[in-house]
Order: sequence, then C-alpha cells, then structure tokens
Amino acid sequence: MLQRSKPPKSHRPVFTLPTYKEIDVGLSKPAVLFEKPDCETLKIEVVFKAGSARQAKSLQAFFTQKLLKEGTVSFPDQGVNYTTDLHGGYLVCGSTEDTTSVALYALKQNLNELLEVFFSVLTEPVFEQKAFEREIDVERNHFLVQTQKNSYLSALAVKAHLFEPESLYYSKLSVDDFDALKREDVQAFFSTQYNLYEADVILAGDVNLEQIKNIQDRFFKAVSSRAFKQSEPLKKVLLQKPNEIFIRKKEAIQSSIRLVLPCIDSHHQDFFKLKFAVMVLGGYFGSRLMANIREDKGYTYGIGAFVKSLTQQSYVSISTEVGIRHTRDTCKEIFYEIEKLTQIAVSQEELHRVKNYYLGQLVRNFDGVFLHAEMYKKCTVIQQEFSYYAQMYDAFKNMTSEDVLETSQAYLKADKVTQIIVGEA
Amino acid sequence: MINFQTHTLSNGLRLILHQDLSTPLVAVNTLYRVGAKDEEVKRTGFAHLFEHLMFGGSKHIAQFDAPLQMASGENNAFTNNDITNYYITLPKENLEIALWLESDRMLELDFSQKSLEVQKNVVIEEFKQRYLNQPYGDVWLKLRPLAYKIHPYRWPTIGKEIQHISDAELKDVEAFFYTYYRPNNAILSIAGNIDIAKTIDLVEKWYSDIPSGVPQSKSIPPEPKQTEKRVLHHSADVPLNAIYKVFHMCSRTHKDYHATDFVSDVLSLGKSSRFQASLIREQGLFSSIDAYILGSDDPGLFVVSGKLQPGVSFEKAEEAIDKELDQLKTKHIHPNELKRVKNKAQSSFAFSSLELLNRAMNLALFEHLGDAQNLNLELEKYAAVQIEDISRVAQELFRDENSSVLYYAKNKKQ
Repeated sequence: MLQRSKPPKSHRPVFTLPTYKEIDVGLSKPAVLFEKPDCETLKIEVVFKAGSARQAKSLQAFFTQKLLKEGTVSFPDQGVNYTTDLHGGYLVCGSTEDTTSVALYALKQNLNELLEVFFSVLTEPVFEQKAFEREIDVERNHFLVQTQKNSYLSALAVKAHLFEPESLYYSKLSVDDFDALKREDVQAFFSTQYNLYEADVILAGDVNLEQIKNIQDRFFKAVSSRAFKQSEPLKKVLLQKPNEIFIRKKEAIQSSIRLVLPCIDSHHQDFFKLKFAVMVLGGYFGSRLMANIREDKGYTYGIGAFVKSLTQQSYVSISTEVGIRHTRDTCKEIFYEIEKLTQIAVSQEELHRVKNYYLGQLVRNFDGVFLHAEMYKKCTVIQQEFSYYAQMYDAFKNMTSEDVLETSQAYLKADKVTQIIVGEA
Repeated sequence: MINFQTHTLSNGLRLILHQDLSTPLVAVNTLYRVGAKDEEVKRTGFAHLFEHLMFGGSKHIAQFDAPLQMASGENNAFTNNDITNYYITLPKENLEIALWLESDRMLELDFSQKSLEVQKNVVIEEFKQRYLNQPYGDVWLKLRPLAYKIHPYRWPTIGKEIQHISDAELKDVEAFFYTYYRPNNAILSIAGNIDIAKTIDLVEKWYSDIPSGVPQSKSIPPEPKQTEKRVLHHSADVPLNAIYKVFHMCSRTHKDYHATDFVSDVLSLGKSSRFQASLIREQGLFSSIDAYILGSDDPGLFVVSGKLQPGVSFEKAEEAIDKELDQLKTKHIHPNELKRVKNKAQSSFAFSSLELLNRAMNLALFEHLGDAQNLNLELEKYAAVQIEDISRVAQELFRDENSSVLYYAKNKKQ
C-alpha cells in the first residue's frame, strides 16, 4: 500500500564550486572562462567599475551606457544595432550603483562579426548629440510613466532617505535631472570611468582556440590604444538617522511599503548568518512575512526581504504592496515578525527547512556555465573571491537556531529601521 | 535537438522524459489543460484563483510548500487563457518528493474554506497590483472585450471584475477540480539528471492509482469573423497618450504562425526594426512602440502598442502605424531583414534552451499543442519562412475591418 502521508526520503544537495580557466588578455586581471564544450552559444561580458557611485551628476552613468550602442567610429548611427541584430547577437549594457557592464550573447558561428561590434562599443563610442537628445527624451517619458507607480516612488525614496545628501549612493531623481544632463557629461564619464585595464572580463560557453586568440588580440589592441587613469577613491557613505517617511498619493488603491535597515557587509564574519536570518524573515515563499501577511491575512500578493550588497554599504530591505486599508496593520505585523525573530529561537523544523531551501537555491544558481559566469560577476562586484560561495554553503550548512537568534538580536534592530510608505495610510 | 521519451499511464496521464546528465537538478512540470477560456462568463478569473488554491494542501499532505522547501526545491505556477502550469526544480536526488507532492494534489485537493477566503484576498490584491494600481494596467481589461465578442478570450486570466473572484464558492472549487484536474487532462514532463526507466517506475508508483475523469470535450464557440473596425476611447491619469491596435491572427498551431511572428519581429524586434527606425528615430512620433503576438490555442491577436510623444495626435500616430503596416503588404522586405529575424530566432531559441526548466515547460506545452516532437521542428519552421510569406501574412492581417483600436488618452486635468 502506498504511504502517501509520509514523504519519501530526501537528501541535502551537494554544492561543488565550478572551475574556470584564466586567460591573459593584457588587463590588470586575467579574463575568466567557464567552458562548456559543444554548446552553440557564447557570452562575453566586461564589467567596469563605472557605476552611479562614481558620477558627478545624476544620470551620468545611466546615459553613458545607454548611448554606447547609439553610434561608434566604425559603426556610426545605428550601425551597432543593425550589425548585432543581423547576426543574431544580443548586446546588453547596464549600470548599477557600483558597475557598468557590457555583455555580448552570440551564436558561436557568428562570433567574429559580433566581436568587431563589441570592441567598437567598448573603445570608440561617439555619443552623437542627436542620439543623446533622443535617448534623454525617451527615458524622460519612461520616467514619467514609472513615477505613476507607488512601488517605483518608494524604491526611489530609499536612496534619498537612507543616505545623507553628500553621501555616496545618495540619489534623489527628478525630471529636471534629465534636462540638466549634457552630452559632454557622458563623454567625460566614458573617458574617465570606463577603465578597461581595470575591468573584469568573464566568458562562458563554447569557444575554440582560434576564437580565444582573436579575443586576446582585440583586448591587447584595445587596452594599448589609450592610457587609463587609475580610478579615484570613492566618497564616504553617510547614513541618515532612521525616519518615517510618508508620501501621500490620493486615490491610491495600494500602498507601497519599504523598510530599510543598514547592516554589515559581506566581509564581516557574521554576514552569512545575517543573510540566513533575513531569509527566515522574508527571503522565500514560506518565509515568516509571507506566511503571516499573505498566507494568513491575505493583505498582499507578495512580500519579501533581502540583503542588498553595495561595495561600500549593505542594507536589509523589506518591500510589499498592500491594499490601502491594510497599510498600518502590515507595518505593525512586519515589526512584530522582526521582534519575534529576536526573541524566540526558530524551531529545528524551520531551521532545516530554510537551510535546505537555501542550499538548494545555491545549487540552482549554479546550474550551467552561464549562471556560473553570472555568480562570478556578483562576487567580483562586492570584491569577493569565487570561493565566497563555498564559504557561504558551509556557513549555511552549519547554522543553528542560536545563530539565528543571536544574529537577529545583534543586527535586526527595529529602532534602526527607516520606514517609507507611498500611498494611503 | 532536445531528446525525449514519452509514456502514457493507464489513467491517461501523459509523461515526457528528457535526460540531461550535465545538471545536478531535475525539473518537474505539470500542465493542466485548463485555462481562463474554460470559465463561465459569470465566473471569470476562476482558473487562476484555483491555481492559488493548489498550494493550500492536499488529501494526505497538509502543506505543499514546506516539504518541498525541506527537499531543497523551488516551485511556482502560472495560468493563461489556455493552460495552468505548475513547475518544480529540485536536486536530482529528491525527484520523488516532487512526484509525491504533485501526485497527491492531483489525487485530491484539501478543499478548505479558510484557504479559499485567504486566496480570494490575495488574488484581489494581485488584481489591484497588476491591473488597477499601474498606469495603463487596465488595458487588457478593455482590449480583450473589444477584439473578442463571443470567444472566452474576451476576458483576461485575472478575471473580468473583482466581484467574480469574491463570489467564488467552495462547491465551485470542488466541481472545477474533478472536471479539469484529472490525469487524462494533464501532461507531466520531467527533465534533468534522471534515469529514464527508474523515473517511469516512480511515476507509475505515485500516479497510477489516480482515477481518470470524464474526457473534456467542451466546445468553445469560435470568434465570428470581424467585419468592421472597432474603436474605443478611454482616458485615465497617465502621463502620455497611448494607442493599442490589435488584429485577429492565426492560432499557435497554424502553418502561418511563424511567419506572423516574424512580421512582428520585422516591425519591432531590436533597435534596427522598422518601428524603431521610422516611428521613433526618423519621425519622432512615439516615445516607445512595439509589435508582438499573443500565440494561443485558438486564433490569437497581433498587437501594436505605442506611447505617443507629447503633441502628437492620435490620428497622426495611427496613420503612421498604418503606413508601416501597408508597406509590409505591398513591398517585399529586404533579404537582410529576413536574415536578421531568422538569426535572432535561432539565438533566442538556443539561449532559452540552456535553461532546464524551459526545456521541461516547452516539451509539455508542445505536447499540449499536439505533439512534443514539434518543439524540435520549431527552428526549421522559422527557417522555412520566405519573403513572400511575410507580405502574404501582412495582407491577411492588416485590414481595417480586422482591427480594434483603443485610444488611451491622458486626463486633461494633468
């Protein structure tokens, strides 16, 4: 007779840190290659330390990367986009607080044509005035649409209320910033901050020796074509005092709630423990916050908590969208759940559930070379070695209920939380 | 080429197995052949609400998520107009946990009043979050009933109105389950690091005693041919005027589907597409504009949606769109345009197939559409599209009497 009430036996997954090859491409660090022979695809990504943290003017980093594809010396006007599309490539640029990355996704068979464009984008964008104006206009309109969303406004408010105005990472974006930016600003940002010599280069997929040689030659040539200034030190982080911010939006149907709490960073010995405690609180579908606020009370479609890691500051972030009549109750319940973590040890059942789930998540995040490359990038950004993930696996495996309790008591302090509500309360 | 094997259980459950020994994971995808199109007109949104209830516990297992998390698994689900799809990924060693959980909720759900009440609230918040509390969020609540008059594609998956969700009762839940959530109305696909023979045995072990249901042969009324252009004017607190123009197109399994997909790609895939070049860069009429298709079991929609630059009238914007569409009808596209969309289709297929879960989902989906083997013919079908097919399909699609237009204006008070 089939025993349906009892679960079949299960096992904790084993995590093996993937290996990679190093290739000298003439930069300060070797490029890394996560190889998968016999696949038809290849990704190559260059990560510059050119995030918004290094900009002198709002939106400078964002528009610099946005304009990389809008014309280069060898591929003027729409040449970059036409050539990339024609050969089935994807050229993806993006910037964060700490980095700007330029990635090429290609079918192996079209790699040579696409490398030509890729290196042109990295070394000789022209930032035409017409393209600049057009992109500003498109993004300004996009910003106007976004600012109609309470969730967007609350996310913006985090940067404006967590950091002091003269601090690193402070930002208070408004529509005027789009008009204040000049073409010269993006040109200057490119020439001073896109330091190829100091960049990280990450490859994944199938690449033959001839193609590696081609990539090496192109990097050597690119890096010798101009002199790079060493990056200047970053400004300091200055945190504001904890605060309650309420931005009323009349006729709102839902309120967007963000709770942020500055915390220790990935180099601190308790960091993995804190990550784990935040996972218990709101890091997965069965978390305390989901169980209480969605599954028990039905106030929201979703609620989550995670640790945001920037190079110079990390913080715990809790976010949700709730029906306006539940705004205050939701905040109350979030604080109740934080409090509970600091007072009552998690049960063995819950500890093992979170542990197993989290370890499974780690294994999922490493399924295939393209994800290996992604994870490599993530740890590089926060200035960690790749072995960071093996340490993380061990730390999670060894977590105890006392660890969760002590870590929560040490770092999840309700009186250090800044609360942001956009909507009605 | 995605290799797979099939097996059908005596209760009608179709099983697809795909082995990939390079991954430490297994993906288990369960597709139920029921979606919003199977709902009654006065109880819309039910298939999706039901999807939420599937996580509220089953006959022998009080909670679905907790044991899966304990086994290092992750899961989610989605509902669309045609299907409801549940998926799990977990370490290969724990495959049986997924089968234990999925088979128990196929056997019998725990029909609980508390779960129903809570999930009604959750879904109502989802309705607000996605459809009401967003600029332009209600577009499909307006466009679907404009384009479809008879066919149940005339309401979105979330439902026509919040009231329908509030009104759902436990007896409806039970009836729905025994009608649609039977093994003979489901497709199970398992992909990853598996042993084929052992996996078949495990599936037989957990699923073979689940009774089959009455085969579903509900006939859905076809949408009558549209004979004149339909228009709707709507205004809301949005920052930019927007236009949505939709045309009836073929179904997902029709021989012209791939050419139709390419028509939308020629128009708007990537910065080198026609809409980007002409309507945004050259003429400066739109802030953003897209063309895409809704591929569905029954004839779907070809959608053009754009946000107008301030100062551009709806008339001028629509005229410019129509001109682009007309050119596709009257003049052959350049061979490079076809080369571009073919190359893009090939690389996007290659990158998407890297992900194990995508392979599991696609195998189940193509089996639902007729035969999982067709997944391996997709690229050939795209490659076979000729320049002449693009013009021919454009001529069939882009007729005034086949169009419905929503003019979404920003409120004057702003």
